[in-house]
Amino acid sequence: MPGQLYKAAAIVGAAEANEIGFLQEPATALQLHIEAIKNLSDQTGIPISKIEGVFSTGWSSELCEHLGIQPKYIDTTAVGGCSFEMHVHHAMAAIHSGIIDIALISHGENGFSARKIGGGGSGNYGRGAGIASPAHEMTMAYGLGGASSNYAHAMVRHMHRYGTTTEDFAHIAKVSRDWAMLNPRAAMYSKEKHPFGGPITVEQVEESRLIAWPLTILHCCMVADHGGAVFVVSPKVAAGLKTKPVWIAGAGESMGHANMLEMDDFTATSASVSAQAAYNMAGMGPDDMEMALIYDSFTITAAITAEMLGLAALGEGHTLWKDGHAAPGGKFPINTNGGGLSFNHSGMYGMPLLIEGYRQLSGTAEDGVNGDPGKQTSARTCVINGTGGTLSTTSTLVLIADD
Amino acid sequence: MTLSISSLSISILSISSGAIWLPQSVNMFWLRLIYCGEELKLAYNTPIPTQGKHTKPFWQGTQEGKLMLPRCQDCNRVHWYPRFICPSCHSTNLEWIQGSGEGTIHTFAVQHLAFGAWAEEAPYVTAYIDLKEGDRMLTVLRGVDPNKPEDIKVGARVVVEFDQASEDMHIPYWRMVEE
Ligand SMILES: [Zn+2]
Repeated sequence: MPGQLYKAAAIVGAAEANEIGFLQEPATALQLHIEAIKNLSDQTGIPISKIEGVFSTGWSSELCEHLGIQPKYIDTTAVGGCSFEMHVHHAMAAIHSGIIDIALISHGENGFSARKIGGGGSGNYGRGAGIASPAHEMTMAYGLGGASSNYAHAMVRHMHRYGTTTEDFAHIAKVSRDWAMLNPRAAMYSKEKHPFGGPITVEQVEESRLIAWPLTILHCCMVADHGGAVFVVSPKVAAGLKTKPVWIAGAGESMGHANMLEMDDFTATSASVSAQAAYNMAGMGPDDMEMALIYDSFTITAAITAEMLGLAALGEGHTLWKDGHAAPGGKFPINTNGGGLSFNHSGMYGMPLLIEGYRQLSGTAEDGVNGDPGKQTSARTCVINGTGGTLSTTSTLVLIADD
Repeated sequence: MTLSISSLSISILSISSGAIWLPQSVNMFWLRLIYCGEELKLAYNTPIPTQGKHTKPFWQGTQEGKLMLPRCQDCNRVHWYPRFICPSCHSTNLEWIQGSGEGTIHTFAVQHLAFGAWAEEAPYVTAYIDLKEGDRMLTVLRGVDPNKPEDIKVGARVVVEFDQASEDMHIPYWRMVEE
């Protein structure tokens, strides 16, 4: 008897870039991608705007931005030449489960032209166009460096649009520090652990060193070392384990852009879309959530995301922290590990979100190693949101505790 | 005597026909000018883009002081950055038009922590500019005081200008204009 994915999906068209081979006129890898996609769309009659899932070796967010589309499923598996067959496998699973109906698998590699013009030649998988992309070409002259240099623009726009202040956002840093002081593994747990650790005030956040106005250093997450892993298993396997399961009730993903230059609304991210998908899958809404774990690369990221997740009205995300709801003992705990601001952030913070989500909903958040008394909440549901790039890509999960 | 090109670009470059060009590296370009017996050295030290394959009309325009923008001939929308396909309607019938060089500040930030050659320029103001023709550009904003960010207004009018960065590259910058 065939398996569940047997004939779950079909390949319905195949096309290539306009010119292939040893090109006289060199082409970039991005150009080869786009030409093939355009030709595939023409061949099948499927408009590019109807593409729901994009699979490529590390190019997906760049391709989506170039095409101006916001897919529901983004895969960048890049493990070498066999990646494209894996993309088919992953697309089958996504289609079978009803997440998407139309998946694009795309390839563009200028192995020959790269000798003349550089860029995405052989072995470039996993990196996209990088410095050969037109977005990079048109932005690299202008002195933007780390994430803070980009994100500051979002805070200024939020302040302009909603009348928020740096002090409003400073409360997020202060409350996150309060949580970190209940987490012995948090980098900023105490003065003993780190010279800048221990309690902070809103005034200190305001007056700390300027990184990118209006962001002072205490509005910014740290860059530390972190390693983490989780197992996701079937209910059958979960039933036979000594550890408690935490159920994944909903999941969704989306993206707005790859480069901040293409961010349409600097006060909104695609988390509104990814959250809606996750809530729909869970059959729940923001009012059913009892806590949240939000990627807080910067205080502004946390505030905007809270708004996108429906936890606060537009322009009022910061009030969750300012009014004390998000704080230890508050009615809606947020970032109970101390967040990227005060717990740990190594560059990609999505894994610590998963780990703290598991700990809180499995009742292990206060084990003396990863939590002191006061850190464990009574929450039975939790919304988690990760943000990638420069407020570019988002993924939302709804977790619920075991009965 | 070393001067920043930003303050001198217009006056010096207008008489640069008598200049001796001495390119020393890809990322550093020195203009040595013998003028009235005094030697002036101009440097464009910050990163210079590499011209892409399909963006030449833009860079050619900047050489002539023109802001060329890609526009879709099917939906008439201007997009930025330059694409291989229209991000609005997915047509590949694209053309280049001369933009007005006018826009407004969409949002901005003041960079105090910077890297490489930009570290010497900090603090400086970066801004996203809403183009009069549509869509948005990134810039380092001129005509503003980085130590008085409260005086910089979202929505303020800006105009484009061009700096000669190397023999064949002129880089656009935007300047806030008095209302
Ligand atoms: Zn168009």
